[in-house]
Amino acid sequence: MTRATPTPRRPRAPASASQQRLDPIGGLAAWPIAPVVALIVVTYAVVATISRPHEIQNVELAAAAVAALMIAAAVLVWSARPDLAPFTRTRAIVIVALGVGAHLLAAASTWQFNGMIQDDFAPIGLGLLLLALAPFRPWKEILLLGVSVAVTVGVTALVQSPFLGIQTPPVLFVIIAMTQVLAPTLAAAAYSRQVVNSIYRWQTDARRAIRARTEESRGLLAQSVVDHRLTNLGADVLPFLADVLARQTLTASDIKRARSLAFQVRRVLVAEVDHTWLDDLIDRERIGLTEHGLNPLCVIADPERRATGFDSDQRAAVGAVIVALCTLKGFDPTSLVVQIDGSGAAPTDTDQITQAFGHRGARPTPATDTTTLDIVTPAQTQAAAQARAQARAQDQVYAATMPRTPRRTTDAGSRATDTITIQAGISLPPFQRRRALRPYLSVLRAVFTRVRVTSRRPLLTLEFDAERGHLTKTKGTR
Amino acid sequence: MSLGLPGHLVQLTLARALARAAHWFALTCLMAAAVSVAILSLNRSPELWITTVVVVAMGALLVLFTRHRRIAFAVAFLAVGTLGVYVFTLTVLGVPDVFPASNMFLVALPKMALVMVGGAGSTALAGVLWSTAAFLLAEAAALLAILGTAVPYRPDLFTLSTYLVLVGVMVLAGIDRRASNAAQPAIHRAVQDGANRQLRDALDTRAIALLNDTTVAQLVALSLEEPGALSPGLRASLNDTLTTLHDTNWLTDIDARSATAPKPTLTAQSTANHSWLSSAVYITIERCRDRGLVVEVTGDRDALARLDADSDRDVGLALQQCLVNVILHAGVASAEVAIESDLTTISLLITDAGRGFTESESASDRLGLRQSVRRRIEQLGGSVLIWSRPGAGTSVRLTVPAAQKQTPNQTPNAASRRPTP
Repeated sequence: MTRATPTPRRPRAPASASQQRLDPIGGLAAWPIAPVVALIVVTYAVVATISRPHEIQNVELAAAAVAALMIAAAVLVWSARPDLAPFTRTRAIVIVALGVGAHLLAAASTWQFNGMIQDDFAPIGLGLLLLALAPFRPWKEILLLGVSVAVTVGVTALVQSPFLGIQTPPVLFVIIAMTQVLAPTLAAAAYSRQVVNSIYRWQTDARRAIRARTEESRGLLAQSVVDHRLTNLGADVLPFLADVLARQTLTASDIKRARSLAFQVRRVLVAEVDHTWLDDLIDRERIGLTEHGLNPLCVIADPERRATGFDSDQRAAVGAVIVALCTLKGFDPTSLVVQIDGSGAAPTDTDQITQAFGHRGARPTPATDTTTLDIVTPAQTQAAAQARAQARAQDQVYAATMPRTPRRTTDAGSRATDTITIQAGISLPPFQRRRALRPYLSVLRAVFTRVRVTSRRPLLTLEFDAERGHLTKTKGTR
Repeated sequence: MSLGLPGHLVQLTLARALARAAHWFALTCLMAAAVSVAILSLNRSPELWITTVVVVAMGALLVLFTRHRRIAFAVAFLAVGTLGVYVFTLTVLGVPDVFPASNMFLVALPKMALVMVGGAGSTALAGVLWSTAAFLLAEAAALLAILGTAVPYRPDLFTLSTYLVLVGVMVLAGIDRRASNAAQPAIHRAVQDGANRQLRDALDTRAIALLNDTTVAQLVALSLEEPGALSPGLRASLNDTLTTLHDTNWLTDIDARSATAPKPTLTAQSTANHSWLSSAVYITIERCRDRGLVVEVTGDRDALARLDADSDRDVGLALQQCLVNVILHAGVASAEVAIESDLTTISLLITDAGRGFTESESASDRLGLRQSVRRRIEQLGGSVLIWSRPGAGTSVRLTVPAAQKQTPNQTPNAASRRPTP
């Protein structure tokens, strides 16, 4: 028997991924499912309760059941709101717990007088609530919640079976009740799994294509970097060195000139080293605005170079939002201010570089450039031996800690939070402004935490946090 | 993750996901129907087994349709499903004295499964049409069956609401996301820009490091000289710098060189010595010796053979900066380079007994250590540790990842596999 060549496994999305998290703009389009489902659930609960007055033994409990389901529906609508994204696990659990509570209350309100299981509103309501989680939560979570609800609903049906109006084997009631929950649950889980895997595959391909395109431009980029550097070096340095070499002698003025040139070149290079991607981005926007005949004034305040700690997704999100702001109708070119401050240590060079190139085994070096050792004996051998011993000890410490915490980025694993504030003056009616920025804000919410938008016409302020230091996904350079 | 689906993929992706969801919904309904009828046939009417078979046949066709999305299977599912609904309704409602009316959830199960065929439509319109056809067929078959039983007819709201919800979801998914159309390409552009910027920064980092190694180092060396004739070492390094910089393709040249450089041999003893002599570390040390520095090399030199071309080049350049620092700043004429290796890394410890420095003093002069040593080594995935104190010398430890060390029992095999030169 011959065996076919195994096809490579298609990439699978991480278990925690949801449509909303992977494709925030797509998630934005899916959000109307929440209010629609909420409306159906509430309407059905009210109609089903009113149409069965003869079964209800305890009106208060029945009212409480409808109220609980209404709250669950309200929480669903609130949780799915794009400006409150992402939809967290806690919200999903609260919704399902309220639904289960409603189910138990409804069952208690008709205790011993429930005619049929199939017209109970809670199992179907719960099924619909679970269905509405599909665009927002990972499939495993939906499945787990759904199965737990189905078991609860099944047990309640079994307990009620002796008092029901139809004489069939009790397990039939269990099947009916559980199907009302399980069918929508499995549908929601299947949707979530399929859509997340499709998006993830597309993202993997897109990233590969982006990498390939970037590599293609390597030659051109390298040439432009060289040109830029040599221009920066000025017309002075190379001729000076060539002149000294040609003369084969050094004069006192040569030495003085060499010192001054060294100082100048170093100053330029140090300034360049301190340049971050955010500076580049703003520079480009500034040039773009100038080309449009405007007189831009864009301010960046990032004294600790915290921007360097952002990963590529965060950079893309910030970049897209800044570009969107600058190209928005009614944007005041003199009003853009980007500020980054925060708590915890600023990112070190080590963070950026080692992760930029994806070396997983990269080890962090101490945060400061130089670590001063208290070497008591000045003798060379002893100093060297001590340094070597210390180096080995450090090495062992890293070797022992790194495999367990492969991508820890800051020393001692401390968490740091960077707060980014983007301020821009935009003279557009609030509705249009919201509409234009909504997709970008949904992306910001997917990659940053605590996204706040405040508006005091014409000034718009976006504020959001980036957390570092805790298994961050930092990938990037300057 | 910011890279959302582009407009042209949205419809297809959503249609597939909806199809998957609809199939699972239908399968659950059919499974529940089959199990329920099996239980009823065991308890009440043994003749119901034929109904179980019909439901299982529906399930089998559904699975077939899920796997191979062909119109023929959809039509077959519709035909068998309609027949199944008729048989199911007739036999289940025919069980005497159990069901009070026709609008039982149990009876609706195969109908709801049939309606789900629309979920597999490739567009919203096709899906709605398939669903509507299935809904009408199911209701007609059920009505026909109910007329043949004794139970009174009641409208089945379960199937109707399932149909309406499915149609609603398909229409919602089919609505074009116009508002987001402009944003998605903007995000893609931002990601591409970010990638370009990252590459540019990497090249820039290397360029700045090279300029620091060459131009700044030369200027500083000149500024520390006494007036008079150039020393042979200085003349050589000046020449080297100008040759490097006058060739304006120095960045890409390095790429090209490293790309075509032969892969390092890992174990063969005969080539190890050659590797040491041709390694950038050796060449750097020799160059610094030419400039008058006494460099003592200890440790496992052969381990350098485990570095690939890129690492070898960059470790050499970083070492050069460290040794140039000794020449320029340490105030001593000797240094020690100790090479150590373990299974996955190679370390170079550069030690001198010179002046040493403190961080504050080095702050203005941080470019060399920061750019030419630290960033360079970190780009290789390595790390740099520096210990220094005024008057107590300086130790710099460069650690870089290297090819896995061969264990002794692997060596002969590895050697025998290698073609003889």
